[in-house]
Amino acid sequence: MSFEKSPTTLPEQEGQSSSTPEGVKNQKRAAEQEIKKKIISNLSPENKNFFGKMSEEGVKIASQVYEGLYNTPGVNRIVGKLEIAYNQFWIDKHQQKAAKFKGKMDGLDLRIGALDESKKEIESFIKSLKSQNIPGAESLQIKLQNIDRQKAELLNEKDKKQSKFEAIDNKLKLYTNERDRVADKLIGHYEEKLRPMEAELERLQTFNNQIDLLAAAAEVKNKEFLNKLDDLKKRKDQIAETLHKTGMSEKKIRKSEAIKALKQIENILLDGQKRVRMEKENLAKRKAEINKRIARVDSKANPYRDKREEFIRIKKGRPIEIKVAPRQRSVDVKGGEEIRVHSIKVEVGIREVGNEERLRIADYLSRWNTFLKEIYKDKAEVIDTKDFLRETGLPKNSKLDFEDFKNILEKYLKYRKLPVNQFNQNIEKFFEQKIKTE
Amino acid sequence: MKKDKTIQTNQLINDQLNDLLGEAKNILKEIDETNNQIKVALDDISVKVDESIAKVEKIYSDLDQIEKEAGDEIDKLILQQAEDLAEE
Repeated sequence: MSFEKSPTTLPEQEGQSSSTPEGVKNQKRAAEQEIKKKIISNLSPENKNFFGKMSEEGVKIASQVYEGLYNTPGVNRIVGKLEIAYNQFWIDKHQQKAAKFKGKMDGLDLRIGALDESKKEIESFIKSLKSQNIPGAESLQIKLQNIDRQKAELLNEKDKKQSKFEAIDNKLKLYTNERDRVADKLIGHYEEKLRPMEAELERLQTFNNQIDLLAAAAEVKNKEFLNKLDDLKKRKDQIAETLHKTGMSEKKIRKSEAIKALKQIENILLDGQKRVRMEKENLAKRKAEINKRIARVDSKANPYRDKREEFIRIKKGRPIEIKVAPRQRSVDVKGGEEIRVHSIKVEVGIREVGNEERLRIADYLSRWNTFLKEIYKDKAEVIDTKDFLRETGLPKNSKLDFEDFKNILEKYLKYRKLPVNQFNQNIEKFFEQKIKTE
Repeated sequence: MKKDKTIQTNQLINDQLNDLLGEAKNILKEIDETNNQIKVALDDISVKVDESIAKVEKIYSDLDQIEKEAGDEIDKLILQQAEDLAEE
């Protein structure tokens, strides 16, 4: 953050143009008051109290450093404050002050040096007078004493300046240490909290994956129910046809118990289809709703993650490389993008899967594990059938087509955080070699 | 004879219908059971999600507090330094 003043737009004083010197002055004063108000409103009671007791010059410096923070929209407060604390401004100001004292000390050194030279010359002259027995050395001795006194005064003055110089230097060090202490504490506490936060968000992601798996398994079950209902409908239609072929009159047929039973079956089948459809919709709705809740809380994590990076960058005093690649998690849990339950249907159609390819889930798993073992031997990442069936809730005899198996297996691996390389590399080969029928 | 055959056919139809009715009812029951299982599983996940979200929200609130305290400390430092510079 720069401490350069940003243009502040304030309403002009009535009757005074901002182009007149008085107008400019008023505008400046109003801007100062405005920033002062902003500073005060953002301070803790203790700091507010201190601010109230500060000198005019102190308030001016504080206003200058805070101006960028409060006048620039979108600046994060804590990051902005840390940037202020780490700004070169303080070092420059301290160095300016120190340089002033250093200059004064150098001036004193020059004067002390000049006195030393004079002293040497006088001492040499006294020696010469004495060697030639010429009187007058005593008065020169008094001069020497004067020089010593002047030199002592200058040295005292230099000591004072030196002390001030050192005090400035020490103060800068003190502030630097204090600033580092606050930054370290902030970063430390942040890290302490971000770790469990990431763990909890990871847990939420697992719930998301679990719901995906649940939805994929439900899709398989629903498909099976619809197949069964379809089969029953065909049988019902055949019975109705047989009934008409018995030679009974239409009137008799209409009054027969069989027709009532057929109607009852028809209603049950329709009801079944309705329940499957409603459950599908309900599951999609609940899945979206949970996804949305997770996405909402996950999106809030990003500013904290970003701030941690900012703190470290500011403290290091150099820019860090900002990776623009999207977060895996953000992509994964975005609400509204997760409802893909029905997408499998299209793929099924493209593949032209025959009824022969509808296998029992247990058979798929057994074939898949054997297939992997043929390729990877003891490095095969085989699926624990029991765990798979428990987590999907699918009965081991339930039949499904290959695309559904692939979809469910993929979601199971994701949910269980199992490696996916062998799956990605071999699932299509598995279909071609072990499942597809001519 | 023809009447007997009709009775037999009707009986066969009735038997088939009864079987069909039984199967249809069973499927309906299976559908309900499955729907219920999914509902229970989703309810369970939803509760756990809420618990997790509450924990994360608490962490956010703690982080805000940490920021607030650090911000106050930095303010104090800035104000003191500004005043010191003014005094030097």
